[in-house]
Amino acid sequence: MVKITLDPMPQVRLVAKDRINQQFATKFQDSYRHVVHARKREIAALVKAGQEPTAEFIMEANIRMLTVQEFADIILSKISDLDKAELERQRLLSMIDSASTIEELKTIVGGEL
Amino acid sequence: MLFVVYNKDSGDIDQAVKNYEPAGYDKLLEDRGLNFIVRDDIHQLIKPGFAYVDIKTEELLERPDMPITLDNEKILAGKGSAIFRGIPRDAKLTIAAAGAILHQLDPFDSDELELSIPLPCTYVITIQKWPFKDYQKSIEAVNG
Repeated sequence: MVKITLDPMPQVRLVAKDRINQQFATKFQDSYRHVVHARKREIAALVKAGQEPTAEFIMEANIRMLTVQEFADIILSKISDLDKAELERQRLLSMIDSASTIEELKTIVGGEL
Repeated sequence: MLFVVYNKDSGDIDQAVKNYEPAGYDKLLEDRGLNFIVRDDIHQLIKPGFAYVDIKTEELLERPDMPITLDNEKILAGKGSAIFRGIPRDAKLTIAAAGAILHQLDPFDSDELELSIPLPCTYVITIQKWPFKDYQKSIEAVNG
């Protein structure tokens, strides 16, 4: 008789990590908001470095009734969507490493594995 | 007529065709070097994976069930075990849980398996050995 005792957690953790990575990849794929926010951060950084912003950047600052410098400060003070998402992804991956049951893994990925 | 084209080494059915104008169809299959049998007493098509051709007798047979017995489908995590008996020799054994393959043995060199699960979850055990039908059982480990 062959006796087998298997700890499922190492392989199931990998499945859970794949699931989290897929969720984030899907969420940020072709995200218009993510792309424009990244572009605005680029322009805001140029403004703070003393360069001229684009006409659209100036117009948006006007719409918001802010100076170009104030608008650039606000944009740069916000954590970017991508940075925020990456922080969340890393937090979830770390939780997966610490999980000791399959039920915990299901909770982390938000559903069945 | 039912034309059953099969693999000459295993008897696995590649194609089963119900042909209502069979004249010349056998020659077409022969010209292509295919192994086949013809049955005029079967009026339905064969379900995929249901049958095979015995390559010695050229009989169309239903794939047999594996003669496996299992003592327990629900066990205590970290304490109990499930015992499979009657596993055909040199079968392929796959153990999976929650979308992951945990372990695979091919060939599995025994006819008995004792499986323990250290924490609550469900394992899916699949045993494959031609020409038997695939055997699959779920073993649930629960907190005791």
